[in-house]
Amino acid sequence: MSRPEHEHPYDPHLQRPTYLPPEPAPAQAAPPRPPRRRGRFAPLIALVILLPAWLGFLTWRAANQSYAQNSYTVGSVVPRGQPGEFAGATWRLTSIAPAPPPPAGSLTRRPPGGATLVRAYLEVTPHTAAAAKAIYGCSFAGRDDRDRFWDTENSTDTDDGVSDDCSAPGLGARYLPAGRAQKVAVTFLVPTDAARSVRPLVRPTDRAPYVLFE
Amino acid sequence: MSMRRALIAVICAALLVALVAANRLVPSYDRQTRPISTSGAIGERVRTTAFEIRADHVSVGHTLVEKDGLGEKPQRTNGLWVLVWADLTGVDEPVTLDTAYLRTTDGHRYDTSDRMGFGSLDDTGSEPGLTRHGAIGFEIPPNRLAGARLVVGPAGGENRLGAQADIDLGLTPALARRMVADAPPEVAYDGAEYR
Repeated sequence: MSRPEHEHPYDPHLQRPTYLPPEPAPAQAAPPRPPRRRGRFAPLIALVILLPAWLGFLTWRAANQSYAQNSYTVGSVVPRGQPGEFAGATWRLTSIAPAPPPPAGSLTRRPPGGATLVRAYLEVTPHTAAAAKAIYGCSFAGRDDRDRFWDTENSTDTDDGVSDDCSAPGLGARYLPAGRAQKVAVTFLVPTDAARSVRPLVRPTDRAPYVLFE
Repeated sequence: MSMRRALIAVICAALLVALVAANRLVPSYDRQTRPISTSGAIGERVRTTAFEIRADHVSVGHTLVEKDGLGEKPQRTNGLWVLVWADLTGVDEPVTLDTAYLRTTDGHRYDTSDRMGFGSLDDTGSEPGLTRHGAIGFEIPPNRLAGARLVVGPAGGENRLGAQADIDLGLTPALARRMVADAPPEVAYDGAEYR
């Protein structure tokens, strides 16, 4: 049986020629690329670095923070020229000014260089005997416009017979008389740069906050 | 896969160890709240949040002679009087040095001598902008002078997180030996004064 003319022995539809290279296998899909290791561990590395750094910063900040409590808690402020009512008494700042140099023979020593004595006069009127007793232990301090504080200067001699605390002037411990305005003089030794701005703080009783007289 | 698991296990173990170690590093309450100390050396100005101090020299002697308006008051010691002279200035408010001691190299602590009068610098204190110069007095065994440091602070036992200065007084062994050998019979003190 003869082969028809059009049937070529190499007709690919009929027979695959044995000498042709095999068809390439159908391309397979590439496997998904694993994520890079550095990317996976980055949050962990960041945590290991940032957490100690943050804790270190907090420790440093805590170590450098001032925990010192101010010893002079100001509870109220009395405007200049106004009286204040505290602990059953009326308080008024009548004057404050640098004190003149102490006279010869005074118990008061001359202020050291760069320092000035400042004297404040207050008028105190306890309304009752109980109030006079309550304010007997009053105390004073000075504060300047830079929030610096000074205690009163005890080694001074006002030379004017005015009490320097909330007791009646003269010898012996006596309460201020009730119902009468009494002068009290307090003196501060401050650096000269604070002499103009220092203002008296009054603590009417030993448990009360300070009152600032502007 | 198994490598990855092993790595994760190692990291977890390391973190666990780090956690335990970090827990052990947590300071005790006393350590957390102890005074905040500022270090310095003799001749340097040491500034803390509450005061500024500059120790300028150390003098020693066998008898302290305090001079005041009532006369002289000699006080002999079995050890050695050590006076640390310094300038003290308050920063924002009046300050007295309720904590003041010498710390020796072997860890001993010598508080100020209560036989020294109220004119000592630690008792007198200072106020803002007003520098006082005076001495802080100690009685110590002569063999503890070398390496001693001055530690001062404004509050006593409850000085939690308060200011403190820790000053190296520069007392090398050779200098301390010489000071002890040449210690005069008397060392005089007449109170703290404003600069």
